[in-house]
Amino acid sequence: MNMQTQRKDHHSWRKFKSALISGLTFCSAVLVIAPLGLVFFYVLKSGVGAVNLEFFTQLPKPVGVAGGGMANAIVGTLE
Amino acid sequence: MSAVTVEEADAIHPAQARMSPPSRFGDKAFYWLTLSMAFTVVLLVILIGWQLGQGSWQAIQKFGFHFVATSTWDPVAEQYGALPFIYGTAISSLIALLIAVPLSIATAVYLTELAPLWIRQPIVSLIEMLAAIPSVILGLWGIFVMIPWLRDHPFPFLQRILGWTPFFSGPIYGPCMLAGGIIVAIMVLPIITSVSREILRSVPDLQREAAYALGATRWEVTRIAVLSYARKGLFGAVILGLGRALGETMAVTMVIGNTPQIAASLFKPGYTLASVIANEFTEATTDMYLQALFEIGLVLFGVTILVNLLAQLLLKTITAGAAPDRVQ
Repeated sequence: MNMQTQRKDHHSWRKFKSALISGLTFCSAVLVIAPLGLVFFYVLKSGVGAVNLEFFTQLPKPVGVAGGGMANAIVGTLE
Repeated sequence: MSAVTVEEADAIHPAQARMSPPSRFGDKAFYWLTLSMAFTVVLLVILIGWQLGQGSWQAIQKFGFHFVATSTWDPVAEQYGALPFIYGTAISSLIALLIAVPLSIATAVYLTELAPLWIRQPIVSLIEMLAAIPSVILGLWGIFVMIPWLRDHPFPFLQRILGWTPFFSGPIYGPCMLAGGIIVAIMVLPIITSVSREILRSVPDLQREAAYALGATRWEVTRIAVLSYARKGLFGAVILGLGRALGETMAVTMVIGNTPQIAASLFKPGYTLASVIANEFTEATTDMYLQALFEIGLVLFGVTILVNLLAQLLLKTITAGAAPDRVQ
């Protein structure tokens, strides 16, 4: 192997390493954001069915009674 | 020189020249107002420390050093040893840092050095949104989604590979030290990432240009010119994350299992200083119980302040020193 091809090999290895690290750091960025998406979709999936006008305007019903809302908690948070 | 300008001013505005110079009262008042506001913050910290010390004084006198060195927590028998909580806080924070630090720094490197420009701002915004998730929601997600998943897939996998070590042996309950560490990791990711990003951004472009001029690839520029330059500041960011991790309360309480024990296995439930205060403060019926909880607060407060001071010192050294002799 002459000097030129050796240098070329080395160069492409360095470029490959750079691209590899770029890919790895990109993956870590995705991993960092993943919990946000997971939490958001879980909350949306579990909670969206319960949201209606009643949820914002009514007080909680006793345990076992369907319906009711969270008006007291919303007011308590805002105040 | 000044005489000339005064004469000129007289010539142009004779009426104004006769007026008294503008009062400095506003400046002075504003100075003292802001100064007193700044001192209020310091005073607040001192008052909190004093209050915690006063609230726990009897417990400190009664138990002395035993409080932080024994591990029996039995309010009925008036036995208070906080070692399991100190251990739990230390280990869960350590796990959190082990997970969060590589991810955060890699993300910060990606965002400042390697990512295409158009993608940077959206990712930064998303990471800031992660910091905005209320911890109780993260805890709820931890209980209903994260723990069942961890229990079914990654934990058995870890046990198959590393089960021969004491850290991954024993039954897998679900809520455990490792789950607590993971949820804390999620909570400290945003702070370590954004502080690291600021530090990497503060590295002068001259550093990068010099490395590029020598024919370095992107990664070599990052490694040689940026990371070595920012090393100390990144360490400060990590310590800042540690300070945050030590004090995390709600989400950890919901997933760590709340059992005061010291076990080598990370699959066993644990307890942290912050969790025990959150869980037991309303149930503290006797004076000594309350005193013991105050002392736990004092320990947590002291450790957190020390860690934060250390972080501030490290962050200061990166901005103040190192720059001139690094370029050479």
